[in-house]
Amino acid sequence: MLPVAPFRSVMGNHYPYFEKICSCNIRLKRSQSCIRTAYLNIAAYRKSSPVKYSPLTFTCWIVFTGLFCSSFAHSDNNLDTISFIEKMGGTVQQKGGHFEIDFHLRGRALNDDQLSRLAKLKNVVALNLSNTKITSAGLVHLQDFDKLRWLHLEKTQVGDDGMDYLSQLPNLEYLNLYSTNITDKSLEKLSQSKRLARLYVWQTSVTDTGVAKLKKAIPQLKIVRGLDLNKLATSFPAEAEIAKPTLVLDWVAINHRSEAPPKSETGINCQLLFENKSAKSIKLYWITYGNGELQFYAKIAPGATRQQNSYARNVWLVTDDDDQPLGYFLVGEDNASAVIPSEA
Amino acid sequence: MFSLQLSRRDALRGSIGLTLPTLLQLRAHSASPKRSAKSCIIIYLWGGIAHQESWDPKPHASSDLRGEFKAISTATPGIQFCEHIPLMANHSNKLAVVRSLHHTIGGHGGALYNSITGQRAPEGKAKDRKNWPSITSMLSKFRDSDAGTPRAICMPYLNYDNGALIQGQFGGWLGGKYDPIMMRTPAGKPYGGTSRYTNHELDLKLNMKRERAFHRQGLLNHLERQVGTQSDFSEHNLFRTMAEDMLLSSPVKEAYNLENEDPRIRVMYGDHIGGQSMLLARRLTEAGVPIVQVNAGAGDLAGGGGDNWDTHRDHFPKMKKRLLPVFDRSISALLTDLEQRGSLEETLVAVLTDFGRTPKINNNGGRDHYPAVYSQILAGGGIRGGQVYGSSDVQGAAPHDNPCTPADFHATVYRAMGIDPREELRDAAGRPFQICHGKPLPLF
Repeated sequence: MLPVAPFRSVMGNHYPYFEKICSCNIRLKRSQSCIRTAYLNIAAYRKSSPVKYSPLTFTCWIVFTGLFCSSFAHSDNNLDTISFIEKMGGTVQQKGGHFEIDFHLRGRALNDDQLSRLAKLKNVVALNLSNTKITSAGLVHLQDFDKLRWLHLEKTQVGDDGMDYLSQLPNLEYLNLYSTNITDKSLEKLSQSKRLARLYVWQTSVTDTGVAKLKKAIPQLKIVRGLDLNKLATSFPAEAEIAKPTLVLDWVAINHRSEAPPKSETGINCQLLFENKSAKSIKLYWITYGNGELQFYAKIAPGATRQQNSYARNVWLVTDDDDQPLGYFLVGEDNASAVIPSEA
Repeated sequence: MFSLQLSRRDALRGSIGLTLPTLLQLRAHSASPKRSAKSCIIIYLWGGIAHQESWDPKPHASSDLRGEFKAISTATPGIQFCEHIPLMANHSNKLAVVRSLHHTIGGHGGALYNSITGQRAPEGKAKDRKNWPSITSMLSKFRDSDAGTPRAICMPYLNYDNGALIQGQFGGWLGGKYDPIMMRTPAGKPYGGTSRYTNHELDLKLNMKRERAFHRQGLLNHLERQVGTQSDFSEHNLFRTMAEDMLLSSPVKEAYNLENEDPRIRVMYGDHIGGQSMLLARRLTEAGVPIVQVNAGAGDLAGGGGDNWDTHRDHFPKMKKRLLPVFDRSISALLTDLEQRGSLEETLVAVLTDFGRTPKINNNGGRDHYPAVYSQILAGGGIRGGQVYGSSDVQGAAPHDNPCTPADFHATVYRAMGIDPREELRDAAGRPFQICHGKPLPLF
């Protein structure tokens, strides 16, 4: 059983926080176990030591434990920052002591001032600020993020002035600036970022010249410019017509003296083109294999057609809107039209 | 001083702060972390796309086997595709093509189960909780999403054969919480590789109502069998909360409204359910849905109003005029769009199918089911593009080198998503299951 009081004396009221941090951070968990071992050693020492408990020993012990604790004194800051990020709707993931932070889903209200709170966090490797209210001025708070490798700034108000702070980031390899206010000036500034590998500049004012210059400065860099939307079509092209089948299936009308239509049997796959030439809207049912149940497929309005996948020797029942049977089709061995006649 | 009194054992135990293993671990952690894909779009080609007429053309097969299409060069030297997917040929540098997949199941149902779960289908019902979870459900188990945002969405319908719902498309033993949420695609014509099961036009509201009703019915059946448990209630509650959140507040609702998309981008994907579903998949992943499955190919093989990949008859005209152009247009639009937004490296795109099609062309000008060798592709999500893994023989009849299974393909997907394929999960009864029995392919 470990008494927590000695820890309290060192860490004040932060011990519950300390435990919380430890629970979410493997590295700190390890520190915790170190301290535990240290404490056990001290306890053992006190037991076995011929010297009685003295103020000097106690001081030594405090200093010793304090030294361990000081190594993660900044964790307290981390915790504040993390809870701040979460309060703002962002998410934080920790992977081996590195942080990946996203604001792009529910944290879109984030502004420059609030971004300054993040500057305290060390070891941020990935940061997604897309769709937030960040501007160029806010990027000043990122200038000490020397571990940062992936940065999303797309769909923000960021412009050329912001690049002064980014060009100094030594490990930046992915930078997304699509739909921002950047121009060729930004590309010029980014030519200092020698580690940069992917740059996204779709829907910005960068030009061919600017892109070519940057490409020359950082040969391994892939610059993705995306499509020119103005050169894309604005309406759907006509769909491919299917040749109308030449074969026409027989319409078997149903009246009160008719026998029930047969059940479907299996056969080779074929396509049917239903055409409703009657004056009313009809319902199309497939009669299943086995039990011969009715399976609803579609309503066909007067004058409308429907392309239908089917199999040879299948049976398709046609009813009116009130499910009164009108007639049926027995599918042959080939693609065919199935015309619901006007007198149906 | 007391430091002198520390025993050797104490020192080894760690009282001096760092032991060798801890030090090594610390060093491992400080090394640059590898980044895994954040989201995954699974595209399922229901019916079985012919490998010969897509990713693995066979120009040197004998004349009765090779068909009427030519092979074309792609953007990657040495890789050829079928001439009717020219847009995808331009994207080859983003693709890893696996040409040596194989299994032994010749029917659609069993093949879909194998392809989408990586396991052989047991006897059972479509929504049986003993079924293995689909890859969509399994992936969603490892991804969190915001409140009100589903972990997995499946569009635009489920896959049926002759009116029978196919097993393996749900959460299986993971539980109802991991069944993907079904969504209709709100736009697009029902042709070219996609249609829908019935003509009922459903908007989002009705969608969710349907989902809730469906689920409640399932719960009711469950309750009739055994005394209600806590999990029944929590499942029910989960779906109710989710439905409300989706309808009222979630960014998913925003994403679902395709009217908000730039019309030129919508045109790029094509005016068919297949294309608009892929566009929706992109919008949903942007809105924070980690896993999206798009079923491209008529929902019901027997009764779909549109086309599907099960081309037993008139294979070549169907592929040329309708299936391939629509598919080529929509999936290449998806890759272009993900790339220009900078999200392709965080988004894994995996294209799955039932099986390949027979080398021999049948008397109706079609190709039949052929599980002995077929191809699937991966793109984005840290996958190295411009590569082919494995190959089929010159007739496209058997794997020639590096044969691999659907489970291996799954293991590759898990690895790309940062999930250990050997990870063990427990079902409701506490039985342990290793999530995947395949080995990741070296595509990274």
